[in-house]
Order: sequence, then C-alpha cells, then structure tokens
Amino acid sequence: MRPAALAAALALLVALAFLFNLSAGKVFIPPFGLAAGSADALIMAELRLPRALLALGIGAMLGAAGAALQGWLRNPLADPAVLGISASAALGSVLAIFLGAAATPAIVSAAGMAGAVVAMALLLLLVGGGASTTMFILAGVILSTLAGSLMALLISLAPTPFALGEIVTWSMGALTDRTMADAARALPFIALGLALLMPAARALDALSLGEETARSLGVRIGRMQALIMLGTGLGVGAGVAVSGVVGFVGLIVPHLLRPLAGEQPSAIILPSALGGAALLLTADALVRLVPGAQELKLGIAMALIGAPFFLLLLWRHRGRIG
Amino acid sequence: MRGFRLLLLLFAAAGPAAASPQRIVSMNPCIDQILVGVADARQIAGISHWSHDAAASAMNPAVARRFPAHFGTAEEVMALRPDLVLLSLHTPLATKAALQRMGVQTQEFGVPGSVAESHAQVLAVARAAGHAERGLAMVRAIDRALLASRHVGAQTPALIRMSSGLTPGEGTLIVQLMGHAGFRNQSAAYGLGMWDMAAVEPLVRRSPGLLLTDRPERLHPVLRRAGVRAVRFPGNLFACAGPGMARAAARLAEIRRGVRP
Repeated sequence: MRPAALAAALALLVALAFLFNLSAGKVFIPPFGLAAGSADALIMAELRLPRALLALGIGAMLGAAGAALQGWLRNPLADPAVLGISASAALGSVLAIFLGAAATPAIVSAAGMAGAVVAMALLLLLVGGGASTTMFILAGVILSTLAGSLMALLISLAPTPFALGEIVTWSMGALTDRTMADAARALPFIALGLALLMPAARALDALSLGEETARSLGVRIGRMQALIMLGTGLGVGAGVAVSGVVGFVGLIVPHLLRPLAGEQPSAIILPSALGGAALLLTADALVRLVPGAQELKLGIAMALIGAPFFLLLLWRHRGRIG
Repeated sequence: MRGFRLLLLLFAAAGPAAASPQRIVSMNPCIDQILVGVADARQIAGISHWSHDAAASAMNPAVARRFPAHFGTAEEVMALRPDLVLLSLHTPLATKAALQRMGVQTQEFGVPGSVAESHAQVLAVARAAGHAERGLAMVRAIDRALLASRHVGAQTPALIRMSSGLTPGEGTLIVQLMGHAGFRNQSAAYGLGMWDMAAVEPLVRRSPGLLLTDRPERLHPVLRRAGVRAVRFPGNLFACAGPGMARAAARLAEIRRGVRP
C-alpha cells in the first residue's frame, strides 16, 4: 500500500475510533448536538473528552515507541512494556506518591518521565556494550521485574491501607475518570516524545543495514539514540503517570502494520502511531461496555489481548531469534 | 426487646474468667482499638503498626504510642512474648499456623456486619482480657453515642465515596450508621455492591445527594460543575466497628445537622 494511502486510511480509523470512544459507555451518548448545560454535555466535555484524548495520545505514543524500539534494536519483541520502560515510569510515579507528592500531579508526572528516561539510559548502556537480542530482552524482563518488585515494596510500606488501594488500582492501568487537567499534563510531553521519534526514523533505516554501513552513510548514531531515549522516555513516562501501565500496544501494532507498510523503520513509525491510537481508543471504549457497574481495567484488557499475541509471535519467530 | 438484648449482653459478659492474660498482642487495627479500651495498659504487649498512624486508624495517636507496634510477622509477635494473640480474619494463614505451632494461645475475631455483632466482639475481647465489665461499659458508651447521633424525621440521600472510588454499600456497618444518622444511602441505585469502586459518570447523570468523601478538595471537577455537594468524612472512620463507630456516628450526625431542609 502507498504510504499516503495507508496513513489516510489509518487516520480515518482513528477518527472513527475517537467517535466510538466518546459515545460508548454504560449509557451511549451521541458526540454531537448535546444541549449545553445538560448532564450529558457535562459528561462529554469533562469525562469522555479527556479520556478519549488521553487514549489517542497514549496509544499513538506506545505504537510509535514500539516501532522505533523494534527498529533500533532490530528485535521484533521490543516494546516499552516488555523492556521495562513502562514499569520504570510507574516506579518513578509511585515513588513520588510515596514521598508525599500525590497532591502535586506535576511532580508525579515528572517522576514518571524520569523513571522512563533512566530505564532507556540503562538499555542504551547495554546497546553500547554490544548486547545480543537475547541479552536485551532478558535485560528488559529483569528491569521490568525489578521495577515491579520495588513498586510492590513501596506499596507494602504505604502508610495507610487506603493509599495502598489507590496505588494498586492505578498501577493496573486505566483511563477511568481522568480530568482535562490530566490530559493537559500528559499530552504536551507525548507530542514532544512523538516529535523526537520522527527524525530518528531515517537514521533507523540506515541502521537496518548494519551499524558500520550506517556510520559510513553519515548517520550520527549517538544523536539517533539520544532522540529515541528522550522521545520514548518523555512520552511513555508522561502517559504512564496518568494511565498506569498499559502494555502490548507497542508490540502488537507494528507487527499488524508491517505487511501493509513494509519493513523499513521509517515507513512503520507514523502508521504505528496511528494504529496504536486506534487500538487504544477502541479497547478503552470496549472495557466500558462490560455488564455491571464496574468496568474492566484497560491494562488488564490489553494484557488479555496482548499476551496470546506475544506467544504467537514467539512461535512464528522460533528458531530465528535467540 | 431492648431489655432482652441487655440481658443477653449481661449474660455474655458474665462468662467464667480464667486467670487473665498478662501479655496480649493484637494483630488487627480494629481489635487494637477495642483492646486499648478494655485491657489494663500493662496487659498489652503489642498492637498492629496501623494503629500508630493517625491517618489509618481512629485511635488517638497519643494512646497508640504507649504500646509497641509490630508489622504482623510471627517472629515479631513471638519476640513480644505473648500469652494471648488476638487474630483477625485477615491475618495471613501462614502467620496463624506459625503462631499456633509455637503453642501460643490465640483467639480469632471476624468483621462485624452489624451493631449487635460489633457489641458481641467488644464483649468477647473484654472477656479475653479478663475485664468483662469494661466491655459492657464500652458497649454502653457506644450505644449512648449511637443514640445521640440518631436522626428522627426525613432521611436525606447521600453516598460515601473515597477519593479512590471505594464505596461502601448495603450490608456494611457504616451504611447502617448512615441510616441511623438520617441518610438514605444511594449506592444500590448505581448498582454497587458491598464494597465497590464507583465511577464518576453515573454520579453526574443522577446526583447522589450529599457526597461524603475523605478528600473533598480532590473531588473530580465534573462533580463540582454538576453541583454535587461534598463534605469531608475521614477515611479512618469507616473501616472499623467497635469504639470507632461512636466517632463515625458522631461525625455523621454532625454532617446531618448541617444539611439544610
């Protein structure tokens, strides 16, 4: 498929998913023509719109980050959650909450971004040391487990059982009842993260020919790595601080789109951003449609979809990696 | 009916008192609150660490600090050389088993679902401490507080929702206290069960009446825009039965008196 046609089709899909996300819920609300001041208009403006905007931004960021990481590491299993970047961001945010910053969400967000950037820097050190594919995924798994354990440690030290419940609920990943202020805090950094990833795309193409070739083509590998580190760290960190850990988006989307977009990293990052947005918008609308007063946690729903997909991927790549 | 209940309580209180234990350790913050009210201070060898935190417990922090706290592991508890350990339904099975293996006397307490069950628990703890009469006094004090918090007349719709979303529903003790203080709990109207997480959207569509919450300043802006009134109800008041009930009932009555007809 031609890149422009693919992008246009995906953008249309995102628009449809956005409208679906706005109208879906325990009660369906049409996104247009609501009487000003009615309960429905209030719900649309203050609950569903921030939620849809966050799903759009976070989905796009996770999709793009997955595509960029897969290109950079030349590894089909790379994804912000698999490599422990999301868990490190969550650890940063929980640490901030634990130290008493719960009332200042800006600090919680900043700590989330710091956690993600530190995780990216650790991975960068490994790449600098010439780590193999297997080493990389292993390092990611260890990082993820360590961050998860440290988070559990902080939770077990939480001063009150109620604060504890709040952190546990948040860490499961959801966009329920987020405010416009949450969206305003996360979206600028997500936009910045996406903007940093885009210029790294061309360098990634050259890198796919091997590091020596890339260097001879004049690619500044250090600059490219810095862009990916900051872009992924800031964008994913800002998202996790608001939504908790939502995994698998960055893993699934590039694989679904590669047959349409081709293998070049530069050709897959933008479509993955669009595809990630459409996937998360749709998933976040579906979790609200489960029967009963409760909704399914978005992070859990994505794991239910993503884990079987991951296993399928491993099965199809068996013999080729490791 | 009332006389009969009192008789029953007296009977429960007048059980045979064995040699009273001299080093009691409580494993649960709710039992802690009863224990410090019915046992001699020198009888208490340890309470749970939650009770040392004023944000988590309804216990007066000055009182709590008089007793050593433990973090709920069997070895910490054994180091306090207890002759009686008061367990709760939530004490981990492994800890219970370890304590019992080491031959320490234990007694387990449940989670009261009504005022009568709470009274029975107070009396049981008092009896275990060898001070049945103090249990009876505590029950009477709680009854007096409940009587003082009683609202006669029209009930006003209300909902308790913690800032985490946690909402107690029908069947919980706190909702019974709400009814007692003149509130009609709305959780069932939203399809919520005993302890459910309430989303914000249904509260915008249909007002819960008065919203009781631990942190009114963190109320979702859409609820403020929708004109939902929120008042503070501390999170440490709704988790325990026993003497904490008296404070919860008093706070509910105070809130109810502030409601304009």
